[in-house]
Amino acid sequence: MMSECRTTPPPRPGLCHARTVAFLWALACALLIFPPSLAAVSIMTESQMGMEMEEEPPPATSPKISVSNDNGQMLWIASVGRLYMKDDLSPKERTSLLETLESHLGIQADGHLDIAVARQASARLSRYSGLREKPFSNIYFDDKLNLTGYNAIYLETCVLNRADEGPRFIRYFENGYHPNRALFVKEEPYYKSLYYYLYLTQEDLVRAINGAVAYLSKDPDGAPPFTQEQIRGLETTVKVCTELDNLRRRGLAAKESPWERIFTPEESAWLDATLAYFTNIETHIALSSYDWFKRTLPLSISSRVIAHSLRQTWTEQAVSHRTVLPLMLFINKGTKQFSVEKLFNETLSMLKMDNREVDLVVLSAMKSWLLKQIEQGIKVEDRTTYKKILDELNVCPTGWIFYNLYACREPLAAMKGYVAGWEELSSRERRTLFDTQVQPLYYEAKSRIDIVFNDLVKIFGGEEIYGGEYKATSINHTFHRYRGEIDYTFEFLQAEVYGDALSEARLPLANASRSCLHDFTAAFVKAPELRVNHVNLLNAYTLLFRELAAQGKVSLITLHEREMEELIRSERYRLGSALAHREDNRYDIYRIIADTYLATPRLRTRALKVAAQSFDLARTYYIEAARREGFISGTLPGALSADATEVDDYERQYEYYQSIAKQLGKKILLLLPPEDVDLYNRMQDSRNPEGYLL
Amino acid sequence: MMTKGRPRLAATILLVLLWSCPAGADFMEEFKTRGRSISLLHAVPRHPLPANTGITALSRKDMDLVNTLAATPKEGPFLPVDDIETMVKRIDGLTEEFEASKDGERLQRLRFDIAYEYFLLYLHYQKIKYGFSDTKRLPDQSIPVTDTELRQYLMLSRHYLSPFLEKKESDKAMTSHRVADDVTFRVRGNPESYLNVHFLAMMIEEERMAGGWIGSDSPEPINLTCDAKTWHWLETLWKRYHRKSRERVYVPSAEQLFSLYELYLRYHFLGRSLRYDQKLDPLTHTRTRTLLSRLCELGKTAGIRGGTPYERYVEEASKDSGNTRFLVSLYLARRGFAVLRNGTLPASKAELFTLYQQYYDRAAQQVRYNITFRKTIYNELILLGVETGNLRLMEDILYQYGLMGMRIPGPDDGDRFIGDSARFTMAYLVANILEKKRLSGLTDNSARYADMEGTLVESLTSSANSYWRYASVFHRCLAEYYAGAHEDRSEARAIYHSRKAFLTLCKKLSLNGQGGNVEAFRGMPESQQFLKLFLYYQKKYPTSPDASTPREYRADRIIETTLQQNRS
Repeated sequence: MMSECRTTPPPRPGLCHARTVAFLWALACALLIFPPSLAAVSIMTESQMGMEMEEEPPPATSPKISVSNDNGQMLWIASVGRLYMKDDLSPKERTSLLETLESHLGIQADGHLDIAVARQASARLSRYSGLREKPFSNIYFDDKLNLTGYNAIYLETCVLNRADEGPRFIRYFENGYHPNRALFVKEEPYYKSLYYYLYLTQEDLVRAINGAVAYLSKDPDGAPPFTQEQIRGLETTVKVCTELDNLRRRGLAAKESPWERIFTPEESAWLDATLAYFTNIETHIALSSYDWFKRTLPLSISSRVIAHSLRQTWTEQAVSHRTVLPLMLFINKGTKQFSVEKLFNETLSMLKMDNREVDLVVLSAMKSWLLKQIEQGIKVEDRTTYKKILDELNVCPTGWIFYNLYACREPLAAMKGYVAGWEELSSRERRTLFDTQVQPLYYEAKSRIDIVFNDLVKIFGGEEIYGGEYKATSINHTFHRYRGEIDYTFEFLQAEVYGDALSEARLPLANASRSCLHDFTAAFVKAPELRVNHVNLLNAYTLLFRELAAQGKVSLITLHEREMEELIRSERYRLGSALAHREDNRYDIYRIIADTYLATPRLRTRALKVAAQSFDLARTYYIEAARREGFISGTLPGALSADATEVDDYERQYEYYQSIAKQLGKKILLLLPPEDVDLYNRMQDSRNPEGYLL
Repeated sequence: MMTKGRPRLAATILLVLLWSCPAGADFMEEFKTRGRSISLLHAVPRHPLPANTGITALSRKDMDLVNTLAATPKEGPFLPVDDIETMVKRIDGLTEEFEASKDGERLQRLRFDIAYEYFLLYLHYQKIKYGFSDTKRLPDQSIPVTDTELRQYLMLSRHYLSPFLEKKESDKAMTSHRVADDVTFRVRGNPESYLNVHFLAMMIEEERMAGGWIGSDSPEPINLTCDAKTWHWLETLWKRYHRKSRERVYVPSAEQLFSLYELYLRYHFLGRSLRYDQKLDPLTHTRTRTLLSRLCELGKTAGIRGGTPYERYVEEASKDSGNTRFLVSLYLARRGFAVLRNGTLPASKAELFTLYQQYYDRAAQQVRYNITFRKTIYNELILLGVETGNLRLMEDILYQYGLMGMRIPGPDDGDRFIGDSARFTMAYLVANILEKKRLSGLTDNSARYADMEGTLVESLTSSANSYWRYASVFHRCLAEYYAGAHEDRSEARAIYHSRKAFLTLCKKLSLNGQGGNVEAFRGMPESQQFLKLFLYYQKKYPTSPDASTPREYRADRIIETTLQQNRS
């Protein structure tokens, strides 16, 4: 109380009547809770404010009047200056300095900032600095005559005596100063104060984090000694670090870096280490790998880091990708290296956080980045690839789902790579490859896609998988296609390895061939216009029928055949209609089915029907080809003399139909119209080197 | 003749479009306009075609000539469009330099370099978009290169080049091209090769017009001036090349000069075809002829192999009293041939054919004095069309062209090349049609070709060529047609034609002095079949007056020997 009296001027009696005018301000101040020891100060400020109110209107227009009135009000400014310039402060002086500043800058006891007061102080300070004859002036002090500067004085004083005043600093910084950083000019004092904050808190914070991590690794379910304040502290620290990092990077290109001007080399070295720790995503990924942190830490912390690092990458990329160039060019100069994959994978790895706010930032960044690639990528093949990825990204509801879906790509592609050369390998080679290479790939892909589906089910609701009626959900067909392809490829490779012994050798998983059929059906039903869905579904049917036929499960074949025929016949889906002739393997399917039926006495007549369908299909394709090649007159096709696989298929299916008919004791001539028979004969003749004779 | 054929032709073209496969329709629409320049000027046939050895195929000599007509020389060194990385890197570096530099002369060079690279970029993506890839792509595989993007490159190229052109526009009053138009820069800093600014500008303008980025009807004097100036520059080079001057100027080597002239030829022709010039001053014709004859000379000096036969063009032009208008369309049509043969585009050959058919049509129209030459043009069109192997196309369109060609009066000098004679070409076409009809069983209206027999077949068999094949095929098909079960069925005709088919072979043998030689007979293609055919009908229709064993050309000897051998 004594120091208060000394440093602040007593209220002038002549102005006391102004209280009536100032009741509003009084009210405002009364709302704020002051500790009893500061009551006197509060009264004083109240009265001073009252005076201000009267003087406020003409400050700029008639400065002279205000100067005469203000002199008293600005005394504190001068006295702060005097104290500040002193070499050594006694504890008493220090307390008085701090308390004066607190009262005039609007710093409240709990660290919050009274913005109204702060603005007043700012106005006064600027007026003071405008005075021609200042009550106190010093070359080292004059540049601090603004709100930022005075705050810096306050903070600096705290730091100089951090043993006693450390908590005061932190309290104010976390609650008042940093949240209201828009008030302050981003200059040297401001950045310096950021540095002070890190300097004061960083060590404790890191220790607390390490302690918590150690605790959690011992007892993952417990609650570590990491308080709410510390979480807040972490949040502020991260914000401060990103701010400083931005400053540092901004300086990198410029000739005269503000960073070097503000911080000494030692400080800057220390800061580099700190920033590297807190702005690194890995730190945050590591933290959120603990359940407790993932639950407790605000999502905004990581998203801030991510957004920050994204911004960094993009700025650097913008440097390398000249704006005048219509295409994306990635440079490779010295330390600056950019490649498409690197950038993509770096961005992708941020999705590991599984954090909604991060997702928003990263996904939108990725979308615009991919779009840029599609439009401006140099290589056209890359453009196509990124187009596919973007399509997938667009249907992913969360980043975590996309991250896992994307992770499926590689093992799936590797597995498909084996499919191509699988036939040529000997059975032993296949077996070793299957055990050593394919299975790990499958489990990797499978675990990823399972994560995806778990999340999807949480969002869109589950699906009736083995029920009779298929219940559609809004899960996009892409996901079904992926899961189906993973299962299918694995199943395909496995079937080739074990051959007939498949049913015994099959891994005790869910019946993958059935489930890939389910997935492909779902994908197909949801998007029947895509070619790939037709191909996949028919592939799955081939595999299924082959296996069922090997096991002799005729009733199941009948069931699935009916199901497939429904899809083929249905007006809406028309399975197989999007296919080019070469991709269509319905012939294989029909052949498997017909052969099985033929072996079953009860179903022998149906075999003929299936063979007829098969022939019909070949005929349809053939007519199409004939039309294309101009070998048609009206609706009657002629035998092509061009090389076309359609011709082969027509012949083969015809012969197959014929052989089945023969086994059932029927004549093909009676089953087919004469044109078709004639066409077949002509094809045969034109292949005959001896030519064709009547 | 043209006017008579027109409406029917148009109708049939429409028909072709209707029944042709609809998947490629979108592609064709775009290809017709935007892909024009790249497909006509830059397509290079990739694979040598497998030789067709069927009985109705062209003989080797004729095939070689057809191949030469459609041949295109390799891309010259002036437009290296394959290395995209280099282009983009160079654009990047040059642009940076451009923005930093103030020096006038340096800046000009940079302008040229950047414009050049952008033009290459345009060609590169154009080439990718209109697919000259190795594998045929499916219709639903679209290439992610947009028109806007292509246009952007072209515009950028033009933007950087425009200062050179605007300056010249202002002093156009002086019209003399001789003064100071030689603004020439090194190509990618190579001290051995140079390119003129106006040459580049001309190519850009023609590409713009071909892509439809500017209307073809709007008067664009700029590309005419550029064209003229480019020609002028080339003339200077030609003089330097011949004088072997010792001044320190750019003297191109024969290869370089050849590729420059060749490049100029392509763009000059494209421009003329796009503008569809109605009237041309005689100077242009002279210039074109000079251009072609220089190309001949350079091609020989530089030892360019397998290029387009420029001698032929020179000859063709001189036959038409120096008129070169039709050469433009003919040249482009022949280059279109190459695209058609590549067969990697997602459109069927018949669809592509209708595109190049227009160029042939136009060429025929533009022949001014030497009307008989139209015949040759139609013949070439037919030879191209038969390669598509499309029966409908041959019957509906090519046959009409054949008829048109045959109606054109004038002598046939048909020993050199089948395409020189309308009748031989027609025989080739009809033989192909009939053989295809016979094999495919679509013989419904074969009788319509029977009328041709009298006019065509007799002259086909001679000792000098191997066109007798077409005659025998002709007869064989008709024989089988008349023996078939339909209202045109006629025993007499069947046996008549089978006899003729067999006798054609015998006649050929005797003309070559090997009459009755069984060994030589066996060496002829499908000879056994023709013999069997006759014997078969002889047995089938023994009462017919033609069923007796023929004595002409010692055919009886062949029959007897064969029968004896069969018995033993």
